Amino acid sequence: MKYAIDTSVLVASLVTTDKLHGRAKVFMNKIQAGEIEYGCVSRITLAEMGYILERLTHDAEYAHNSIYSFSQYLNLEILDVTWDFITTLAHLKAINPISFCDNATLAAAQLTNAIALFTKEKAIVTRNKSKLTGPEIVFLEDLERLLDHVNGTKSDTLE
Amino acid sequence: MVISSIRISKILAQKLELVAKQEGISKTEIIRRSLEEYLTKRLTQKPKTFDDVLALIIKRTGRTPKITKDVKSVFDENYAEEPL
Repeated sequence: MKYAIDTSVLVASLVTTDKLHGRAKVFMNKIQAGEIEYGCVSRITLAEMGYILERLTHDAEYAHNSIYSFSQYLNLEILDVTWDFITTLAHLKAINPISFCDNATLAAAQLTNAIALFTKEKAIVTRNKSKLTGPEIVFLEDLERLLDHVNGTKSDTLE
Repeated sequence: MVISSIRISKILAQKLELVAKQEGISKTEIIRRSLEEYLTKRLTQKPKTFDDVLALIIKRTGRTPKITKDVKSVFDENYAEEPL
């Protein structure tokens, strides 16, 4: 399975107090181990992750190191803001009543034929899911087989 | 932190100056990142696990950040429903 990963998943993987921290870390470890077919994030998503982390911690250096390390060391494709990306994002934002950055995740998914992976912390995406145009959306909370792995009942990999 | 002095060629210094202006960051930070990237590649390749990446972030920052807010509240700060 191919995933375009949203900021909410990235932030959950970093923030130990987040209720989805364990689940997000399992997912990201699977990405890093190559157990998931493909993962990508847009540079816009990385920027959003940075500002969220700085607001959460008041620590700009930590936020910048997180952006840098995620872009350099993770087994993810980092999508540049190309012409295709710009026009896809502009169109999705025009028709979808969610934030610009959330639409950047949808644009990344659309351009790579991936599924957009959010958490339900993005309440506006959760509320509007059925109205959104673009790629398929799934939530980290709903990846049942991943939950099994977190609970230690199975050692299944995500499809 | 330790202080290191290095001698570099004029051409390398000009390139450093140019990239620092383009990126809007200090020359010191570029040197630090370049060294980090090179040494990481030489010594460890990519961190094998995501936990290793998290540990590297904390090590580079030199402290574990204090979380001062709830994640959802930060996400919600900039959201407004749009009547599309």
